[in-house]
Amino acid sequence: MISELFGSMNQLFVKSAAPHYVQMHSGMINKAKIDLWASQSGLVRQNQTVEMVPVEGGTIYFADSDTSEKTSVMQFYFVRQNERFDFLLNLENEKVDVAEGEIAVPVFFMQQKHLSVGDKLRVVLPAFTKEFTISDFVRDVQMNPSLVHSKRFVVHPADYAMLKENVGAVEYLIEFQLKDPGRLGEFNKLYQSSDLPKTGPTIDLNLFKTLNALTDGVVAAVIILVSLLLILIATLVIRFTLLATLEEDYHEIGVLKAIGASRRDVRMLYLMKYVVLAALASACGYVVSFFVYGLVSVNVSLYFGKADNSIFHAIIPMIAVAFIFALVLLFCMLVLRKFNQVTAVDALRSGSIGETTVSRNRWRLHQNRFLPIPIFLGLKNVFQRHKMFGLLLFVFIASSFILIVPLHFLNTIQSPGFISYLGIGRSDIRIDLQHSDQMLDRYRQLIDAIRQDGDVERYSPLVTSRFKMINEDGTVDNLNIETGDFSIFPLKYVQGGAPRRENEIALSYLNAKEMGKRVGDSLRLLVDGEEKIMVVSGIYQDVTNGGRTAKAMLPFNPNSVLWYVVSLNVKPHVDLREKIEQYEKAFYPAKVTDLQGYLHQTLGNTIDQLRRILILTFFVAIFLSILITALFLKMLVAKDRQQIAIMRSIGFAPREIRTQYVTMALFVLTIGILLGTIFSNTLGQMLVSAVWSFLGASQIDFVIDPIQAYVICPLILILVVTVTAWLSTGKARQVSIAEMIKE
Amino acid sequence: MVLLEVKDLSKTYWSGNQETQVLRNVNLRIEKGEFVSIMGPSGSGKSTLLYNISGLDRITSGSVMLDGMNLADLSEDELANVRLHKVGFIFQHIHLMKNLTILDNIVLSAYLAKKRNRKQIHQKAKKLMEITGIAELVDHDITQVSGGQLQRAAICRSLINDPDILFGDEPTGALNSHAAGEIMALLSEINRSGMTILLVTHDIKVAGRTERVLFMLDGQLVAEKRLEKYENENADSRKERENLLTDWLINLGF
Repeated sequence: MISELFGSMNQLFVKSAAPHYVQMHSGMINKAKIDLWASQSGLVRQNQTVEMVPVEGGTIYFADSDTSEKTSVMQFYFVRQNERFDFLLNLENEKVDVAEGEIAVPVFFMQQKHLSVGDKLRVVLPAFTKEFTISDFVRDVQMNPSLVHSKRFVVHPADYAMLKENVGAVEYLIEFQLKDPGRLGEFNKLYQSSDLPKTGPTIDLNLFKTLNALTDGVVAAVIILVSLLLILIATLVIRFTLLATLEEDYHEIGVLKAIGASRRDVRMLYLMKYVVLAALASACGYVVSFFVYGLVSVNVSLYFGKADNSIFHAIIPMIAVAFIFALVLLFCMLVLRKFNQVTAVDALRSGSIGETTVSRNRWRLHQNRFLPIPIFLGLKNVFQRHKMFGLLLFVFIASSFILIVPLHFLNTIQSPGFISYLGIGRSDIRIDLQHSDQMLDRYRQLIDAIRQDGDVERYSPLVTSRFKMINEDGTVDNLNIETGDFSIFPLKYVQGGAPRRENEIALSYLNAKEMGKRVGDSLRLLVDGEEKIMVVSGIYQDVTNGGRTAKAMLPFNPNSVLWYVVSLNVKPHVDLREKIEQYEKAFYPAKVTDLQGYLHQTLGNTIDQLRRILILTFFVAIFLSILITALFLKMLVAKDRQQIAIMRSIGFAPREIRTQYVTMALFVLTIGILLGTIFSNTLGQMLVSAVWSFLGASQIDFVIDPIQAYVICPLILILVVTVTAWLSTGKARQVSIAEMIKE
Repeated sequence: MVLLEVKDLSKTYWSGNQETQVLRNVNLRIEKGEFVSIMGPSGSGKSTLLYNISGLDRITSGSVMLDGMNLADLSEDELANVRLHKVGFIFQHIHLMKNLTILDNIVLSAYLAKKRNRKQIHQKAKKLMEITGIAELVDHDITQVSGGQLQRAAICRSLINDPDILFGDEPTGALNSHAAGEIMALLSEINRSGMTILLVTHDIKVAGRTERVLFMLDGQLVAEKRLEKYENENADSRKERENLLTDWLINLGF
């Protein structure tokens, strides 16, 4: 399945002929100059300058909806299909081709708006209204992930021309494919030192890959984790069943040895059984994986398409299956090595190999004052056979862990506080002003209006500009720095704090990591043409803009501004929704969103994925708990049948005997849930942080819903295990006292 | 007064389609306070009869009336209740709970029955342990004591709930002759105190201590021998009873 994921992703990159370096730009452009520079650089295989018409969300209506997309944080770009590379693909991974009046919509909206082919999309501009018919959906190697706020819609060249004429504005993607993608760093430096457009955001191949893998990479990581856990549990189960079987057959083994069978003979006798079982199971697993893959890879298939059915993709899963098969056999052989330590006489005499035997303990029934007898006996049994119960405990810990960690993370990502991992302080409303010709004027009007608005409690304008940073080797890199007063809506810092002086800078986690900077280190910045030494005041987490951002209190230079953001809180009596609507009208085309909405739209896809993971892990955890509890208790009842017969002979009712076993399972489950919860809150948090550190959030603190995590989940497990334990011990009722006692 | 009455008891086992009738139309009455033994060759159905009339197994047909209840009509829980309150059972092999001490094994069913409070149960258990000569083994694990001592503990366990009747399936079968003698002396004494006892045995020395010996052959009770009540541990009288029984058994072709 993992190989399929990466196969599919790779396929998309190949089929779409992904660009290696993209510079976004708005404003005047000289295409000939770019082409000339590219041909002279020596690094570029091919380049193109792609036009995009930005259409305001407020003018777009999906399907039959009466509400426009004005609250969407996404930016809608209408484009034509590219001719040389960076192709926009349909769901068959073929170049999208649309007729006049038709439109191909990004898969992000197909999923979010539940769109299908034939649905309409209306663009309502002051001068005209255009209705498109959705003819296809677009896989966009650059803008697929929900974390990327730009989305490309493909229209016919004639429609494009009309839109361009009516909208008036055009933005550009200056795209390059390199001869050697490995020399991307070198190319970046070369480009930055040229006089080509540089004011817009820059994206490269590595960032596309990271962003694409973000949502589905999380699924892959969870699948790998769950698979490893299952393999571990499987080996423990094999160990348990093998030892239990050996114990059952101990006398027979002794007889075999006594009549001259060698250790090797006996070992082969048992090993052959497991060779056959493991081979069958591996073959079944291989076949089943084809069916199960579809269930968990809906998103992968939707966003990346299916990988080619090459021999390679058939062989890798086969190697994985063979590896598991070999692992199982190796493990069986290790367990069977116990034979080496046993003589025929030992085997005949003791009838035990020590693993599942009863150890002494000091719990005295006659000293027990409070517990009912079946419960006391159940608990005593667990303590006396703790080695054997280790398997069940491990499974319960694992079940709780895989149930609670995704739940915690889902809860965390949905909590308002998650905004801090997006490098933003918490506020009621966020207003985004993207790059445009009149951006500065609009910004000034916006600030004036907010300042005079009596409903506003406090506000914080933040300006993101591009600066040049001088590396230690003298080369220059771009650094997007947000400037403003960061004390108004404070952010949680991983280390240090917000910049307070003009020579201080706070770096995002990924930036700090890549630059090798810590709090107190200094870096050289070019500000208004002069070199300035900045001291790192703090490091914060940010998964936006590829995780590479910075914050400082630098002088305002309108020429280098990329975008403006104004965060504000309204006074308690003010209706947030009304305020947002008011600002939307007043500051059009600025994007006005409440923070929760912003968070949801940015991470919506990840949240959906997490929900899917939660469902997956929920069923795995429940299935695992049922399977192992049933297997374990059935085996235990079979093993204990003589003791059960004794209990029944002295008057224990079947229900009292079953209560003992349910007590054992529930006691182990309780410890399992406790440990699982502790591990989830510590190890799980570290694990999630480790995965998200690739995106820029290295220190995720779980926001825990105690009712869900500490009441509902344990209750579900308790219920499932109780019912399973009760049903699995039904055999205790059928144990014939007479037969067992006579044996 | 009749304590146990068995009428037309049959027991059949099926193995696939193959039917084996182990007990056939067995009829038996045990009076309260009686000490009865059942003898017979191996495979004659002695133990099976004992399990079926003590509520440890289900009969195929007929009836087993114990203290006014037909065991054949009882549910699984009711039958468990009979085993708990009305019946004591001593097995040939030591069937004690492995993970409990001697005392805990003895008191276990009393705790479950809740006839007495904990203190009374402990007193009763200690008294039984004194009578059976294992008072010093209270906190011993079952792996720490001899077979004879374990069988005494099993006797204590079978008596802890004051059952109406005590069943024994070769209770001395796994013991050496000295230990066996001691156990039988103990059972005789228990019977003298008023307890009804029914034993299955191969051992003429065991049967010689009982007052009625039944002979079983091919799943049926075919003969009965009444003896005087065994009143004292006199070696001569014991020998005499054993001789009487030997003659009887020879006449039966055993």
